[in-house]
Amino acid sequence: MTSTENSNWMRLELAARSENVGLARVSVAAFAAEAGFTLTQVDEIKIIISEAVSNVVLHAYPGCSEGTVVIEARISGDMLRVRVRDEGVGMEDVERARRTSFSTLDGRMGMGFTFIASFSDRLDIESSPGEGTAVIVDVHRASSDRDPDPEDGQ
Amino acid sequence: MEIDIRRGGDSMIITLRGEFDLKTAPEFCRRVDELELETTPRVVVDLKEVTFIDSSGLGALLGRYRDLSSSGIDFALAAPSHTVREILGIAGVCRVLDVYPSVQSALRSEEEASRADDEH
Repeated sequence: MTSTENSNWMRLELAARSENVGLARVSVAAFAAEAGFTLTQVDEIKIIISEAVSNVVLHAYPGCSEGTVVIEARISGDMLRVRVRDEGVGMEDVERARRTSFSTLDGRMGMGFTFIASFSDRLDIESSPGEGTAVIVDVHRASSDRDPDPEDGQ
Repeated sequence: MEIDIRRGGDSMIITLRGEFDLKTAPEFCRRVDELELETTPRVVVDLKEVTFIDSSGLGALLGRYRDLSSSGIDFALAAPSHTVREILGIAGVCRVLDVYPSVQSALRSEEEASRADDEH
C-alpha cells in the first residue's frame, strides 16, 4: 500500500565499499516506492544511487579502505531529494567531473553523472579539495509511468 | 550476478543473471579474460535476465568489446530488458555494439554473415 504521508525521510551510513552499492540503491528505491514513485522512476532512482555511491567508492578515498558514505533521502510533497555525501578527497573541478568523458580511472566510462542527470530533475554537486563531496539530486514524482514498451513481455 | 558460459555453434554465449554493477563487473571481466577464444568468431552476451545495469556494468561490456574486437572477435549483446536498453541508449552503446532482440537472432546473424563470406 502506498503511503499517503507527504513527508518522510531516511538516512543510511555505509562503509564506502562496492558490496554496499546494491544495499544503498535498493534501500532508497524501496523508500521511493513506498512514497508512490512509479516503477520506472524507482528503476531510475536505483541508477542514480548506484552511480553516486559508486563514485564515492571509486574516487573519494584513494588508498584508504575506511571511508564512509552517507545517503539521505527526503520526501517533501511530490519531490524526492537525495543527498549522497562523503568525507573524502573532494574534487578540484566539479564541472569537469560532470562532463561525459573517460573517467580519471583507466578503463572506466565516466558516464555516472550523465546517467544521474538524465534521470533527475536537478543535480547539484558540492565539492572542494579535502572537504569531501555531496551529490544532491531531485526527482519529482510522476503521476503514471510514461511510454510503456511494447517489446517487453515477449 | 550469475555468469554462465557455453558454446552455441561457433559462438561463445555468456548468460548473465542479476545485477551488473561495481561489485559484479570485475568478476565478469575476469571470466571473459580467461576464455580461450582463438577459434571463436563471436561472443554473445545474453542480458535477458540482467535486472540492473549501471555505468560500471556498461564499462565492463565496452572494455571487453574493445579487447575482443582488437583480436578480430565480434562482440554482441542480446535480449536487453526495457530498462537495460534505455541505459544502453543513453550511453550510445547501440551505436558501437550490435544489440539483438534475442540470442537466436544474434546467432542467425552470425550464420548469415558467415555464409555471405563463403559466397565471396
